[in-house]
Amino acid sequence: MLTESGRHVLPAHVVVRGGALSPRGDASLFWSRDTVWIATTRHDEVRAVCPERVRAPLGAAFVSTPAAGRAPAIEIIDGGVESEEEPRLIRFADGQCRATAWSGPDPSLPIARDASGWVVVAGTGPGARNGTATTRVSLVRGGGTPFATPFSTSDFDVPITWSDSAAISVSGGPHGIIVSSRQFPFAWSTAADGGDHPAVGRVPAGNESYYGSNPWIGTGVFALDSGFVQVLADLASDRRDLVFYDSSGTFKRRRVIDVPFGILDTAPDRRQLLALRRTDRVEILTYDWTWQPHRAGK
Amino acid sequence: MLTKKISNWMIAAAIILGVAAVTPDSAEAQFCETCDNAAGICDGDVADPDDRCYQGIDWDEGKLYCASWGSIMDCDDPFLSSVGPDGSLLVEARFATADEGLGDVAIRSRESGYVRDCRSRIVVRSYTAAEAVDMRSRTEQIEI
Repeated sequence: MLTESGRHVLPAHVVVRGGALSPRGDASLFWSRDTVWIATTRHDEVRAVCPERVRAPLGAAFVSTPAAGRAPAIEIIDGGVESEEEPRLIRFADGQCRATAWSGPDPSLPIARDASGWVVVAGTGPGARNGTATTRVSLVRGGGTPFATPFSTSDFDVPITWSDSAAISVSGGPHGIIVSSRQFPFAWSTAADGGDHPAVGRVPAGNESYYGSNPWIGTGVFALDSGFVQVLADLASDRRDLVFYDSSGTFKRRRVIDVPFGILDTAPDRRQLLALRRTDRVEILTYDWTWQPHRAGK
Repeated sequence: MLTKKISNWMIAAAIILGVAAVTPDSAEAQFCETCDNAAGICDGDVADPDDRCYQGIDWDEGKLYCASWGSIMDCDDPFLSSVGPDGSLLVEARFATADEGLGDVAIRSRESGYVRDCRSRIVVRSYTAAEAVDMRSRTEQIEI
């Protein structure tokens, strides 16, 4: 059961682009096209982060667990508002905002952050896995820091045929990056990190008529403590499907809600989820989740 | 005839100035004309082929403005890069001002907003307070 535990309400015209939970679970970030906010988890305090420097945030994340009594460090990838402006990495720590040039690949491509740093879907192209056509996704670390993780500047195959980075979503998880297709069958894969066997999933065959009758789109896959959850949105209505997979990527079940709703981030170790709900306002929500006894461990 | 032309001109000016006067920050919802109509608007001189065209409707009824993309090609765009985290369509819109006259509308500002899918006639609408209460109650707890 997902149970709402915190809410911050924004005016209806604010278009939230993304969000992130803090490592300790006591705060969250969310951003629009020109502002990044930080809110306490219970959302009784909200303020803009580095408003004097942030122009066009493309991503934001907490990058370290703060010591007791100290503010968390935050990184923001800023694309700039004018064509001549170069992307920047803005770091907020100890009450100071510092901006440095972004030295990685184009950060306007799908981007996410894992425990090691920022990762950009820098390109896609045709691949093959066991004779099946796939999309080969190039994940490149950025931020000007050299990384030596297994998928630094490497390619890996996602079992989809759509070779367009705009059709890819990425999210950060405790075991690396999750890459997902935004189109049916909404295939996804974790990026193998540390030699782990990647989890790979997709909506099962047989759902073509259901998802083909209206324009459906996948808005991302996020890690849970015992698997993964994917949000599928019907562009023709308020219907949203929460699709659950086990830890290997095997489809388990689907839950349907009829509210404009999306997941921004998850913290599996704390069973905490950051979400967006659009009603007569835009609402940033924190949920805690529990498993029903008969589903425990799945 | 002259009176009719002036009247039409004044209506057109009022429409464009109405769009200009309503800032994106005050907008709560966007309701757009059909793609066919938007394409018609774009038949004139468009300085930049990437420019969007705009047509305001209902701003005097609290709907504020309409931002519509201006070509059939745009309408055929699957919008894959323009879907918000809540699964609603978004587009990076540019709002016109009429500072330089009706015949030379300048594109002055950019804003993101919810839009409708031309192909399937989707309107992302605003919700009443009563609807919002119901939507919240249905998602305060979600069985997973």
